[in-house]
Amino acid sequence: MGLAKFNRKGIIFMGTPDLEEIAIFLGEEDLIAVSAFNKGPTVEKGIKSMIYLLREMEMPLLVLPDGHPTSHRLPLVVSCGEMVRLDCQIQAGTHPEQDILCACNDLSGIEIMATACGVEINRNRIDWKKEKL
Amino acid sequence: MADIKMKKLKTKKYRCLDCENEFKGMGRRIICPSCQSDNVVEI
Repeated sequence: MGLAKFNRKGIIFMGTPDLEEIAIFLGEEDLIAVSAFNKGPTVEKGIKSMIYLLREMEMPLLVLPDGHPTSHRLPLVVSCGEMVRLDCQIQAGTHPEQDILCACNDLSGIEIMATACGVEINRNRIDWKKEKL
Repeated sequence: MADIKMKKLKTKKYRCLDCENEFKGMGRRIICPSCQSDNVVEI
């Protein structure tokens, strides 16, 4: 998965299956979390591209209806806000809640909280790397 | 997949007092998505 600060004040819109549009108001310290269901250089490029689309181009989020057949084809899912909880027991792309994000078994249970100068994660042993976008 | 039962999405409805736009939102810094005014009230 990839994690970035929103790094400015702005809005990301979310379209839901019940035809609602919800404005997610974000600040500099808030998070964009992108969860991928594979790994490798191509996936990492995809994560960075998704962060770029959300942060720089204000691309809206789209939520699929519960049980949608295309859910299992999503290579990436996204969550934006001050806190993200990773969970392997949800169906990818069908949940509008921004504090929970579909993830693999290894990452399930991780909670990431935005802080003024970084993030707090409720787990010590995580392999991670830091890159400039 | 055993989908967990989710709580209802925590959104609030707002009205912009400058342009009368009504919108649903969540987050800490609420402004009108239409005119960018922060002169908004929860309804």
